[in-house]
Amino acid sequence: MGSDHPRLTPQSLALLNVLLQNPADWKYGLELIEALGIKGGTVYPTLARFERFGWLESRAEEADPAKVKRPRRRLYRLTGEGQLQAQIALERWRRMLGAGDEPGKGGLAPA
Amino acid sequence: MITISIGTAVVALVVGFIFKAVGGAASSILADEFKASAPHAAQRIIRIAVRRIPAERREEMLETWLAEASEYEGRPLRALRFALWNCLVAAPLLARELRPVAVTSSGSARSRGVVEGARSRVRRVWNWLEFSQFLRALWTSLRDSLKASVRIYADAVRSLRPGVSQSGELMRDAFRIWLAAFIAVAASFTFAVRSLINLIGPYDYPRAWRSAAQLAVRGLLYASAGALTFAAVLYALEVLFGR
Repeated sequence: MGSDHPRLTPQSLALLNVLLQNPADWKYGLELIEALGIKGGTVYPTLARFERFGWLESRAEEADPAKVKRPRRRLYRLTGEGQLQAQIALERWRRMLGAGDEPGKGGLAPA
Repeated sequence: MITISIGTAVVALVVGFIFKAVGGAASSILADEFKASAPHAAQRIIRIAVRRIPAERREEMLETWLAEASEYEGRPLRALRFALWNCLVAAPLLARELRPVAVTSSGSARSRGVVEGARSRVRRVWNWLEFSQFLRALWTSLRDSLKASVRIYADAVRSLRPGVSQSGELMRDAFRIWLAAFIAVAASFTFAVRSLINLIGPYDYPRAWRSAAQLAVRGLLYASAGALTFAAVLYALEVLFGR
């Protein structure tokens, strides 16, 4: 893959898979960590990488910190380009490993 | 057979009871202290972690991680684990992702040209100074003096200790010890310093600090190498002239 694409590891594919399930929904880092069972040491840099390549967009939570009694979270979701690229990458992954084997859901995927 | 008097048994029981009571109270106090201080410790770790991130994204990540750590309210151990394994580990990797890529293709071509130019200049100066011949002469002289030293050394060993005919063995032993100790010290020291810098060093600490840190590391490495060499020489002398 050229330098116009982010590096795709099984963990990053698993992340794309989760983000692609409800692409319109905004998700925050810890939610993704718990959904994937991957350490944040992998998730946050991967999110930053996808954002750098324009596959992800992020924004601060709109909730008032005083009202929710905590700082604002950072929310992420796939862009249109990100959705397209994620679908292509996941399709390629499935074809490589055989149907039904999804990153993040058993097999070679991260726990 | 070991016999224990009733008095000793009573004393042992009392001491055991006191230890249990004090230990129980202390562990309870320690657990409470830990529960009270863990959230602050987690926040502190997060603040240390964000120092590794480029300044323009630091505030954003601090807010994000503090928000996510606050989800573990009432679960201090989880909060601490989140701060350690998710934030502290992620920070240097995140910093690498967020670091701006400054080298463009034209820039890299330009720098290649500069490097080539510098290389050819160095080659010209090297040829002009006839350094190759000088180095060859130096090597020959060094090799001859080394050979002579070994011969003198071996003769000395043979005359002093008739049993030790292989002077090479002694030298090899001393050198082996020196090398192993030097590698161990240098590797562990470098690893410790680098880990410490990675852990607590802010992402954009001043260049002067970096130079000072490198100088300190080198200084300590050379000092340890010197000390080890000295120790190896002492060892060799002891082996040769001890007894």
